[in-house]
Amino acid sequence: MIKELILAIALGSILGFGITGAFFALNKNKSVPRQNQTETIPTPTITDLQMSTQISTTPSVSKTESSINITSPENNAVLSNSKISIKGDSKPNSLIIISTPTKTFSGKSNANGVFSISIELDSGLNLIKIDSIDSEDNQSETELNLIYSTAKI
Amino acid sequence: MYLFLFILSVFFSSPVFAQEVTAVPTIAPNREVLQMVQQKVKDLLQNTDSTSVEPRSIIGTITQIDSSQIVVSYKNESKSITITEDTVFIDIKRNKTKVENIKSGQDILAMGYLNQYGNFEAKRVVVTDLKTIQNKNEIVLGKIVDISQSSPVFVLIPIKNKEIQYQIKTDAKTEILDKDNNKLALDKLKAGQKIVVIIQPDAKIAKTFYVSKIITMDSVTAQASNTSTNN
Repeated sequence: MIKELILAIALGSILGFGITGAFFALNKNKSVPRQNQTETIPTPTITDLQMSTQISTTPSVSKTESSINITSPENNAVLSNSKISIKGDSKPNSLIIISTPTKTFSGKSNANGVFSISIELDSGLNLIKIDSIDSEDNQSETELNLIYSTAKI
Repeated sequence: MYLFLFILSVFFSSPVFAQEVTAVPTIAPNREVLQMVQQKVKDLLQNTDSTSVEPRSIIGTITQIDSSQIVVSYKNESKSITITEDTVFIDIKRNKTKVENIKSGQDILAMGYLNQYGNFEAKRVVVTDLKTIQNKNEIVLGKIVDISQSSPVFVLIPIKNKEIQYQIKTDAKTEILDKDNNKLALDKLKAGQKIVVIIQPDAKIAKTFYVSKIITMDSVTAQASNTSTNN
C-alpha cells in the first residue's frame, strides 16, 4: 500500500513538474525568436577598402567627355629628361597626334586602345595638345602641361 | 521504470540556445575593427596625399602676392603657392631676383613640392610670358577640296564642320606621312583625300594657315586599290 502511494506521489510530481517545465520552455521559445535577434553588422572587406582607396587617391585629373586619357606622365609634372613617352588609352586603333609648340609626333593606339608615344620636350614649359581620331572620324583632344628642367628643385 | 524514463525524456527535452548566446559578443569587436581599419585607411591616405615626392608645377598670372604666398589664376582657376626663404626667383631675363620684384599681373611658372599640409611649396619661381609659349597648333581632320596648281596651297573642309574652309600653305619643311608613318611626297595629295593637318595661323597672310605636318588617313594600299578600281 505504502509502496503504491509513494509511486503515485512520484508519478504525480514528475507529471506536474514535467508539464510546468514544458510550459515555461515553450513560452521562452516564443519570446526569444532566434532569427530576429541577430544583428547584421557590415564588416569591412578587402574590396570595400580598395574601392575607398581608389576613390580618394584618384588623381584630380577628372574624366571628361574626351575619349582620350593620359596615364603618364602626370599633368604639371616637372621632368629632368627631354625624351619621354606619353602613355595613355583611347579607342582601339585610333590615330594619336601629340603636338608641342614646336614639334608634332604621331602614333596609333593598339587593339585595346593603349598607346605609348615617344616625344621630345622643349626646355621649360611645354603646353601639349594630344588628339585622338578613331576609325569613325571622331576626334577628341586633351591638354597636358609638362615642364622640362634640369635645374635642381 | 521505463515509463518513468520515457516521461522524463519527453517533458525535459528543450531546444539548445548555445549558438544564440555565443553570437552576441562578436558584435562589439566587429565595430571596433571596422573603426580601426577606417582610421588606418584615413591616416594612410592623408600621408599619401599631403606630400609629393616628384616635383610639380603651377603656372598662371599673379593676382595676389606677399612675402609668404602667391595666388595665381590660370584658365579661370585660382591656385595658391607657398613661398619660403629658400624659394629662388628668376626674372624674365633669367637672372636671379627677389620676391619684392615680382608683381601682380606677371605670368609665372612655379616648381616645387606639396608639403605635409598639402600646400604647394615653391622651390623655384620663374617669371615667364605665357602668350609667347602658347601652343597655337590646331589639329584638323578634313577632306582636300581643291589643290592650287600655281602655288603650294590647298583648301581643306573639316569632316565634322562643313561650314568652315581652311586655306592651307605648304613648304619644303612640311612633313607628309601616311597612317603607317611612311613618308610621302607632296604630289601624292589629291582632291577628295581625307587627311589630318597640324596647322598654325600664318603670321603674314590673313585667313591662311601654315601646315607643318600632314597625315593621310587612307593607307597606301587602300589608295592603290582605289586608283586601280577607278581606272
